Amino acid sequence: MRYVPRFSRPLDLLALLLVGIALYMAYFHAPMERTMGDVQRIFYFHVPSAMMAFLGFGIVFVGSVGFLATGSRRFDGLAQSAAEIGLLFCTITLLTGPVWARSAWGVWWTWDARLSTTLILWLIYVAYLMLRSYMGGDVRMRRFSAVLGILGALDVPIVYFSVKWWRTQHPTTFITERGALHPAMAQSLRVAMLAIFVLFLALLWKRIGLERLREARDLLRASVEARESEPAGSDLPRGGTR
Amino acid sequence: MTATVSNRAGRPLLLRLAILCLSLSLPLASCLAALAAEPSICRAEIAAASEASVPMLAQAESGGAPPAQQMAPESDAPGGNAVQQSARPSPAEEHRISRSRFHYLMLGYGLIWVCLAVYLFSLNGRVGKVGREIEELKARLEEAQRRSSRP
Repeated sequence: MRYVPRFSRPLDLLALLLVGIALYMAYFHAPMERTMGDVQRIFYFHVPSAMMAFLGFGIVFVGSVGFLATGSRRFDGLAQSAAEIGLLFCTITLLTGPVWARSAWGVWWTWDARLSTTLILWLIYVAYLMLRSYMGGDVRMRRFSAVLGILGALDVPIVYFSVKWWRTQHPTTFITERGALHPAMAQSLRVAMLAIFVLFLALLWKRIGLERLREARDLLRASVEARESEPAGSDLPRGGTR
Repeated sequence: MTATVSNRAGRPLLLRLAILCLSLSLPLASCLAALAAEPSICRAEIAAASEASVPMLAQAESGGAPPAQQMAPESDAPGGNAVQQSARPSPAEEHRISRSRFHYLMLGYGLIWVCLAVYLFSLNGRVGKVGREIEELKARLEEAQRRSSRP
């Protein structure tokens, strides 16, 4: 049997279509950058991936606060799912960045503020997911991981503003500045952002679906154990009580 | 969100192959698009190589910011065509530069697809595992119900 979250298939197809369009625009619609050449086209997936990582960790923050406030397993599942997807996009950012840096700066990695804080963010959420997978599923562990999730999300503004607070090699935020990008580049970037956002939603939806399945499994397991501990023939009517 | 269940005991081999082909089509499309864009890489690199005053590696070594903040399309380069015509590097150098940059582009996009594919396979594997556990538990529950209803 296949367990598929509702609306998952249309969302997958939409994500696939948009990513295809974004790829087309990144390669053919956006003009080539003057000094970096075609390597700059990594930008159209690097920047949106970084933003989706921030969004994912922002959702971890909301889910963790919600769990600590209400104790609901739904919030905890949301936080865990978002942490995984955020970590995936953070990994993509950390992998594509050095490839671009090698071509633009001549080095794969440099310990500048933006890169280092992003690496720290990545490590925090690796620790978060390791904590969750090794410490079982009791309430104390969920509380610990919620606190870690909140602390980790506090690194997001530090990563974002690092280029303003410290002198770094990484470009400062230029997307929002008027005229900083060629119009065709800006259009391609917007489409890529939309595509990666829909991809993020599709993956998050699938991952939340897995959490729901785990909840259903745990409930089913509890009822099976309760049933199996009952003596044989307990379902039959006895002494007019049933 | 609720999980809907489809009664497919197992996918046939052809369907699995079709899904695999579909999942590979995106990276393949990316590679083909990069290949199609390759001639323009040569043009850009020729222009970049001829503009000896702004070599990017030297800029990086001197600790300056990368040129991402001044992203401008090739057509905006002042006198780009004139420079192209006046100072062309040797064909071997053109080829070397274009190949090295092309590999970075391919590597960048390749890493994105590998990450996504690995994650999707891992997620599907986990969903399948939990699904099998649920089936097993359902069978156990039915068995327990049968046993408890026996006199």
